[in-house]
This record gives sequence, structure tokens and C-alpha cells, in this order.
Amino acid sequence: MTVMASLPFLFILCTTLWRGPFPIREATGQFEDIADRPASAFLVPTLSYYRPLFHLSLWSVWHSASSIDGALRAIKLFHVVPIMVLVLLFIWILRPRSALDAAVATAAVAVLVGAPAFLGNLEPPLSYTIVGMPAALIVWMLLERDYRSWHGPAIVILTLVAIGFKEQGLAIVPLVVVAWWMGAPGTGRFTAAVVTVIAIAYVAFRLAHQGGKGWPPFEQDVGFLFSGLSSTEATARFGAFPVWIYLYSAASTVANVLLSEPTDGRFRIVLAVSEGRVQPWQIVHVVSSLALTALIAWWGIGALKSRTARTWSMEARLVVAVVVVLMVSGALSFDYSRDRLGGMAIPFYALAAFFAIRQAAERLSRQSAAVAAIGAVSLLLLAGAWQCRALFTIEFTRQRTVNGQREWLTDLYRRRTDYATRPVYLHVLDSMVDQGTDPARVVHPTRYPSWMRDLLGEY
Amino acid sequence: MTESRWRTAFMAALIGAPAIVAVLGLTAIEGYRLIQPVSPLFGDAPASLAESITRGYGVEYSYRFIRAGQNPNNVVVVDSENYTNGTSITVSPLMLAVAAHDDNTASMLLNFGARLDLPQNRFARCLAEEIGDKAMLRIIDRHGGHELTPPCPDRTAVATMPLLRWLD
Repeated sequence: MTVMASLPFLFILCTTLWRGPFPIREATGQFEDIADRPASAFLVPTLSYYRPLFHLSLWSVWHSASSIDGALRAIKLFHVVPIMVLVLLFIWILRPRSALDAAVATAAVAVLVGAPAFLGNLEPPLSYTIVGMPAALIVWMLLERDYRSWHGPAIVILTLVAIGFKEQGLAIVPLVVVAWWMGAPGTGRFTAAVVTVIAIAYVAFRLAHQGGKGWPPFEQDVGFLFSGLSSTEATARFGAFPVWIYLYSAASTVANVLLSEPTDGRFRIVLAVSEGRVQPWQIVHVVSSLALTALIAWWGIGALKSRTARTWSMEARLVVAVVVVLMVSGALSFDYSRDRLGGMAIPFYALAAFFAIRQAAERLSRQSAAVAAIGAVSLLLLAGAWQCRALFTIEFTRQRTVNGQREWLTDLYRRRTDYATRPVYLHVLDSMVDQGTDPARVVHPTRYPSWMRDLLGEY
Repeated sequence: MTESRWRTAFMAALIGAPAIVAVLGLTAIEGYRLIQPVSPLFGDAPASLAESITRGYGVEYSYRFIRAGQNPNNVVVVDSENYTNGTSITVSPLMLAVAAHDDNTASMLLNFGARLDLPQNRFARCLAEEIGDKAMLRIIDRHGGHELTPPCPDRTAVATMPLLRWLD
């Protein structure tokens, strides 16, 4: 039932991404780099951004494809395949065995795909974290299964893949270490030691290659309370002692996963409430996140309390996994907060949602009729709110492809003139015009009735 | 069935109901999209380039006509209360886009073949200047509008609607 309920969503989302145009801004520059530079150039970090495996993967596809069209199609797979693996593996890990399990699993899938941190990672060709998310989930699955000798190498490879696509993959390292410490059956001390060494070596390597003058204190715009600061403004304001703003950005990413607010470090919904212009969808987002996080906290405390001195249950380990991956995701976003930077934590948050909602439903079914009825309606509203958010993911992704096409239609001349001295860029740009402007590649969002749009969100 | 099991089943039905409603709704809507892609539910398509511009359908709809072979320099027929006082006139799509403050469509038309040196377009910059559309002026100038546009004559007495004043 869960798979059947998820397949239409998965199909629509993946076909939207598969058919949609690559954005002119993000894609052409990336593809110019991989077309123009040798593979070895991506191994040495020259900027604060370092995604060697992402670039090498694209490089291999680009240089082995028989045509640019073929390369573009293959690069789309770096998004579509991880999304399918993530959702289907998520359901497989839950393995619903009863009607209640199946119903709760559909709600948990909605949490997974309705979260801003999932939506934020649906921008081809930037597949950095969407590759890391299923990798983390596979690692979790291996950690929780009976030990096999191949688990260790598989976990190490998955960790390297996730880190190679983006530093957010480092979140897998403490996950493996704490899982081993808590007695997870699928791993051992040696694997925990190896991934720790990998993490230390990676950080040392990155620090040793700062390009001589070091990284700037702020790479991108920084959100702060109700407004945003450009990197220059942020440097002027916080550059002398950036620790507090780093902590703020890290906490913002964590809060975005747990509460859907702030977004990019800015308290937009709080501001809307204070100015009396709050929208229904903003209430849906914050209240559904707040209620689910409260439910997860209630379940998590219970799971931790029920463990004995020597043994941790799987649920207790999951509680710790959620906290650890969330904290590391937050820490790795210290420079600026964005929805997408919480991506590695979302599969674990959604897994926790499954156990929390299921436990709540089981407990409520043993209460008095009145309490059970109120609880059941509350869970119905919670599941409904997250389904709205999952629908929003589809419509927002569609609108993003429409916006992407608009940029191709309006920005082409300016790009041709601005980059007139870069022949490779122009070649890539010209090769991509058709995919960028073909009307058949975009599907306009559904024009739901206004009350429904108010509940879903702005797209 | 015991009461506890009945309640658990009831809980499952309520928790799963939104997903079932969503999947049935999505499937029905997308099936309908396949059969009737231009239904108002998905955004009805304009009948002409002029309609697309004057009724603000958006650049992606206007582009469909250019992609289908319509020459962006060929004049189109317009009779709109907002732009022509209801009079039927022929005007270039670029002039119409400027009058409609449709920056995106003006950019698209210039990107895909509209020429500012042609008679039907040469006062596009003057029109943008008169209606005070600075963003439009920047777009036109990026395509050489400043160099290609003759000095704007005084046409304040010609007509009441800006678009009608700058028809060549």
C-alpha cells in the first residue's frame, strides 16, 4: 500500500526533473568547467567549494557521451536515481507489516519528500546532497542488519561517495561511530576507526589547501533574524569575530529541519505573523513541523528511557542518529544556512516520524474513546498537513522548471555577450539552447482552487 | 474484532486517508492533464501572440508562437481597451510587449530575432522612455537600442494611448 501510494508522486517528481531544462545559470558554468578542465583539476581544492566526486562523475559522463544531449540525459540520472533509491529504500527499511504500519509509512514518506531540505536538493545538475541522502540511508540499513564481512567496505565506500559529492557527507562518519558505540549489529570497531580516519584526513586535507590566503569568512549571503546580509555586509558586521553568526547559521539549519523556520537564516514566517500578513500555508508548515518534532521528542525520550545499561534498542539508536546527523548537518552549514543543507538529516527525521506516529497511534488506541477520537483526528490533520507539503514539492519543482525555461528565453543574449571571450562556455550554451527552450519540457503547475493553493504554499 | 483492534484499524484509516486522497487526486488530475492539457486547471493557452502579451500569459506562452515559426518582426493585430482604446491596429510584438511592461517577452523577442532597426520596432525605445520603464530601457539598450533608435520626436498630440503615439 505504501509503495502504491508513493509511486504516482515519485513518478511525477522524477519525470518533472527528467524532462525539465537545466538552469542556464548553474548548469552552463558547471558544464564549461567539466568540458574545459582535465579530470585531475577537480582533485585539488582551489576554492572553499570542493566536490571532487561530483565533478569527476560529471566529467566522466560528459567526456564519454557520444553527444552533449546524451551527456545531459545521463547527468539527469544523478538526480532521478538517488531520489528513487531514497524513497523506495526508505519504504523497504520500514517494511510495513500491518495496516497501521502501512498508513504510518505513507505519512513518513510525505515527511521525507515534503521537507524543505528535500525540496532544496532537487536542482539538477547540483546533485551534491541528493546522492549523499540515500548513501546515508543505506549505511543506516547496513548498520542495523546482522553483521556481514562486506558491510565495513560498503560503509566506507558509501561514506567516501557522500563526502566526495559534498562535505555534508561527513555526517555519515559520526553516525557510524555512534552506531558502533551503541552496539549496532552491522558494524565493528575497525569500520568506525576507518571512517574516523577518513574524516580526519579529509578535514586536514581541506585545511591544508586553502589557496594560500585562506577562505573568506562568508561565502554567500547570510540570513540574520528578519533580513539577509550580503557576504560583504556580513564580513563588515561579523568578520572580526564570526563565531556567533556561525552558531546562528548552524542553529538555523537545525531549526529549519525541526520547525520549518527560519528559512536561509531568516524568520520569514515570524515576520509575517508580526506584520499580520501570515498565509495559511505558513501555518501549515510551522505547525506540522512543530507537532511532528514534539511527537518525535516524546517518542525519543521514551525510547532512550527504555534502554538498559548494556543494550540499546534500534529505536534508541535511531534517536541518537537523528540528533547526531542533525547536529553535524547544522555544524557543516556554519557559513550560511540554507534549506538544502539539512538534507542529510531528513531521512533520519522521517524514519523517526514513522516510529513516533506509530507509537502515538498504538497508545491512543488503548485510551478512552474520547481521547482516542481526539488523538486520531490530530494524527489525521498531521498526516494531511504533510501530504500538502509533499504536493507542494511537486508543484514547486514544476514551477522551478518553468522559471528555468524563462531564464533561457530571456537571458540568452546577455550570456552570449557577457561570455563572448569564452568559446567553451558559448559552445556549451549553444548546445543547451534547445533543451532550455523546448516548451514540451516543462509542465505548468496545477492551478488548484485558491483555498488549496493557500494551504500548499507559494510556487 | 476486539475494540482495541477496531480502534487501531480506525487510526490506520485516518492516518492513511490523506495519502489515499492525495494519490487518487494526483492520479486523476494527471490523467486529465493527458487528455485535456489546455484545461483551465493547467493554464489555458492563448490563441495568438498578441493575446499572450496583452493578457499577460507569460513569456513561455509567447515563445511558443515564435518557436512554431511566427516571425517576431511581423506585425500582429490588436484591439484592446488597455492598449488601443478598443481600436483595431497592427503593431509589432516588441512594441506591444513594451507597452505591456512585459520585460521577459521583450527580452525573448530580442533574443529570438526581433530587430530594433526595422521600422515597426524603431520607436520601441521611445515608447519605453515615455512610459518610464527603466528595466525595459536597459533591455533595449543591451540590444543596441540606444544606437539604433532615432531621436524621439514629440508626439504628445498624436494620440492618448502611448502605444498608439509611437506606431510608425
